[in-house]
Amino acid sequence: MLEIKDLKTNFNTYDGVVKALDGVNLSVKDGEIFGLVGETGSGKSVTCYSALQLLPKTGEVVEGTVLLNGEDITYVSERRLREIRGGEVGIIFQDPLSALNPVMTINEQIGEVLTLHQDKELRQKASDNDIPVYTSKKFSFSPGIEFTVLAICISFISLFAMLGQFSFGLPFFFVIVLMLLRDYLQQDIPDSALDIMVMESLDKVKLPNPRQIASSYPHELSGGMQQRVMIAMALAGKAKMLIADEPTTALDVTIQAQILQLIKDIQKEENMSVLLITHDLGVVAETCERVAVMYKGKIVEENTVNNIFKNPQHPYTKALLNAIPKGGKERLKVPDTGEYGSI
Amino acid sequence: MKLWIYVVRRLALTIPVLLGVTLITFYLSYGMGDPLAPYVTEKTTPEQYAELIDKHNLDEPIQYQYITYLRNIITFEWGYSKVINQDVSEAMPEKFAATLELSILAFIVSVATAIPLGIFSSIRQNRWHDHSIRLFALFGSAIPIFWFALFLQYIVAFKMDLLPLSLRYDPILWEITDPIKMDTNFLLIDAIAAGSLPHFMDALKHMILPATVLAYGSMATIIRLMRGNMLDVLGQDYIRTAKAKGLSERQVTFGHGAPNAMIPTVTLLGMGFAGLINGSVLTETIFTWPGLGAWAITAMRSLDVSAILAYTLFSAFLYIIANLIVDILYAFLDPRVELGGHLSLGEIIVVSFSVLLLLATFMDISIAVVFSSLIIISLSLLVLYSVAIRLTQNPEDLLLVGLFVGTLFVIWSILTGLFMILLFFSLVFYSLYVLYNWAEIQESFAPKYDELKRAAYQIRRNPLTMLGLFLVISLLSIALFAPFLAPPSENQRDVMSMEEHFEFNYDHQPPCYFSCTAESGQEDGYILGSTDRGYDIYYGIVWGSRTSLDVAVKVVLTGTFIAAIIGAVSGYYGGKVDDIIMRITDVFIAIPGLVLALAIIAVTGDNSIEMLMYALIIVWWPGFTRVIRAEALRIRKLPYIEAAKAAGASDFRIIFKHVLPNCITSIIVIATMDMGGIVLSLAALGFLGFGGGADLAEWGKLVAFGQDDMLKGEWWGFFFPGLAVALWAFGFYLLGDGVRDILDPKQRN
Repeated sequence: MLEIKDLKTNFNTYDGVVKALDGVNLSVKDGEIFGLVGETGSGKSVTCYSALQLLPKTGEVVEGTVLLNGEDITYVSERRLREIRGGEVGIIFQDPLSALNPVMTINEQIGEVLTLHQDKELRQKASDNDIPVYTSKKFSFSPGIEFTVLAICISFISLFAMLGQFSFGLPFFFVIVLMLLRDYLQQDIPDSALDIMVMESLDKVKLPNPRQIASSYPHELSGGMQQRVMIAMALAGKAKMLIADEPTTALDVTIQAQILQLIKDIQKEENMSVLLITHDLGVVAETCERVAVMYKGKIVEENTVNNIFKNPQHPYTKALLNAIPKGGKERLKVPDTGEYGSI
Repeated sequence: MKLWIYVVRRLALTIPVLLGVTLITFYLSYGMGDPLAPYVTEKTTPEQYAELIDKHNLDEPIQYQYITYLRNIITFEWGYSKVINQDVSEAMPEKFAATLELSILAFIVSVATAIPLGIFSSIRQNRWHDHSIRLFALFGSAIPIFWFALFLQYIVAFKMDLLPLSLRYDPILWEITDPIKMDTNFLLIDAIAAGSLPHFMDALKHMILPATVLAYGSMATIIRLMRGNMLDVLGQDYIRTAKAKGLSERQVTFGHGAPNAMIPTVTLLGMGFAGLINGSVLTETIFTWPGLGAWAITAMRSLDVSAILAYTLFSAFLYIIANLIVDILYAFLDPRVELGGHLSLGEIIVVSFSVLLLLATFMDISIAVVFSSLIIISLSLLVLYSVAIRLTQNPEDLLLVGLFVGTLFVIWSILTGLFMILLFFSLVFYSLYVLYNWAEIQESFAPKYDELKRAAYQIRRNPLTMLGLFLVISLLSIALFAPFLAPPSENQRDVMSMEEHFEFNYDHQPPCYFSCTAESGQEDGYILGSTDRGYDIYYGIVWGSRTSLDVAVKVVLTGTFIAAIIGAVSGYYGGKVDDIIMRITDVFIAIPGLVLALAIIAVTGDNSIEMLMYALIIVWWPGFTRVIRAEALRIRKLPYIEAAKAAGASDFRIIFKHVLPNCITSIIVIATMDMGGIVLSLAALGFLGFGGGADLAEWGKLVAFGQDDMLKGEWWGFFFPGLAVALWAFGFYLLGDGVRDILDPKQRN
């Protein structure tokens, strides 16, 4: 499904060039959950951003190829890249609150993915059920714009009233009346195909009461709900591959288990490939089939989960496994990364 | 409906602020000017005068006078304006419409151009598009508005004859050949109502130049803010999410970036509107636009107290309303904002007291007087009581009292010039100390050496900062070496007097630049030309730099001290202290700066450079205090403050060891920029005729002299002094910008 060969990424900082990735090789097969573990700063996230060219301005891919279903996407056109992002590969980020746009409703944010990647299905649905495709309420603006219009109208009316010219204020008055009556006039307009599909995708990630959630803003939801919305958004474009960049780090343990279960369920249902990036070996043991260990911008070991846990080959992997608290009186051992500096 | 509660709360809170504004205007007119001036005309007989004294309770104690004054204001008896021979309340709507028409057009133009430019600049960050837009914006804030207006007037209207020179409409067309009804006094709307294209075009042509001038000034701040916010937003996680969805670059920028960046920009629009009112004073004067600003200036020149106070009150009122709308808009644009729906107890008490006071004033003056005295007595008792309680509980806070006394001493020493001497001596002692302990200092300095090298490297790498540094250093050396650059005449007693510098009595001399001695038949000439009274412009510019430097340094130093101490204390303590201080700054900020400074100078009738300085300090400290306070408020919540508290540090220690050192970046940046801003205000005041003595070397005043000669084609009179102001402000703004880039590590790439 996804194959990364000898990927090298540099960051140009004020203090010089930093080599974030130094020849990364990995491949995710169809329909498997592949784990990528490593300590903070080892280049896990940079790998996935480099693959889809989502690096910040200072970063650049200097060498290597990224194959998606055999297609080289390292140097494809911007247009094709946009089709891939969201349409063929969906991404979930670490902190769902900051990854969701604070001033757009969930409906708008998921709707964007649908209009970009599911246009045909939307039109199909609309013609089947004889409903509008995109907007259900013809005149619906963001509250900010509505309020601005309202404020301008009121100030003009009062201005003309002050100057004794009431007739000039009449058109503004009509606008206000129309705005007040709008909801009443439009109450019989049915949901659009877009609204229905947004609610379906929210339903898929097992969110209760999708209609209410669709109309709310990100900050009004809890952390677990936000991450479910992120997953719904990543899946809305019918992507065959999901990249999850530390999806559970910002969540507490119970919610973490729920989200992982959800990812596993959806993976089975849709037969997707999942690239799960994490620093938590427990998460890997629970979810993944194969795993790669990353250290200082390189993959140092790749194997099935069972083999890695039973028979770690690389010293860093051993240190990582030793660092898992085992309970009892045994002292916690933290790997001293300095020892492996030559790797 | 939470929103309506929020609106009502904000409206309620404006009442005490407006009351505070009336206190200031009352103090200005009764404490300093002649309170009866608005009501006295040439025909007033002594009997009528006595009646007036009785009516305004001038023989009664001061609280009676204030309540009477307040009553006159709320019943719209604003007095009689001598300069236009009309009642103030009668003339107000017409003047207001003229100003508002111009301001709205300018506002629309500036917002509509500045926001796209800011967005464009941010998506092309650090490319030439970005640099040129930033430079354009910086020019906008550094160019003196009156100079820009004169420049456009000279080039476009006078030389090229494309647009009318001045006035609001062509009187021949509107009053004689084809009179139409002017009901609304918004000429564009009147022309549309009458369906007349020539009238519409005429009104529009008259508006283009003043609106451009007004718009450019406020455009600059919006561009800079929008650019900064966009850069901030484009680095957020949700932008990456949007890209990961497969949105195009443009959809990401305009669909996700711009709406988020608009939110903090909107908060500035209220300030922008105040800027327009400030600017309209100058613009209307230059283009003889019959609006509020021009009226206020003529009133100030002839000490027409009622018009000045009406104007001050009115612009404060406008400003408060504009800010109110902006606040509500902000709450709407950002769904995360929690609308603070309920009044706190203190707010309820203050608001209800103000409302009761107003009601009592409306009904019966003596009740109101008793009531207001009660309020004042109980408030001062409350303050004394809480201070006493605090001091008995934390004796350490006595240090804070000492701090305030120390601040007062420093302010006094700055104003009297003692500070400069102290500064000089401490610098001498410090350099001696450094020389004596050179080896030790060098050693302790070694770790910081790298950082310094990096800063120097950054300055050298940034050509704009280098330009700023060059401008500032050369202007400062002009001030320093003035006696060598422009030697005073032999018999000159006062070097700052342009009148006394009289070598050759040639009026209206064009500049001869560097070939002055080679002029035929003339021994010598004027390097940059002369004004109509024979003032040497070159001499005025060189010595005027000393005036600018003197005022700017003193105002900035005093302002910084006041703002740093009050802001840090207010932000750090929060709560009641903060509330009280912020309400006081509210009152000052509500009156547009230039207007307040003008009103203070005009009403006191003291046109000395010292009075100008005091006025500028009074205008300057509240805004500065608010910035420092916001910084302190942010720092207060940081973990290391908690840690210091947990380690048992006193408040006093925390403020000095942790809060103020962490504010120092913004203090330095703002102080640098304000060195430019103060000179702009000083020049604006000088241009309006309030620049110290009649012949004191001062840049703004020279521009005003030049304005009179402009229509004779003598461009040098206004051009060179205005250029000096622009270069000064430009240099300090560039330097401030560069300093921020260096000191604020977040902005490093």
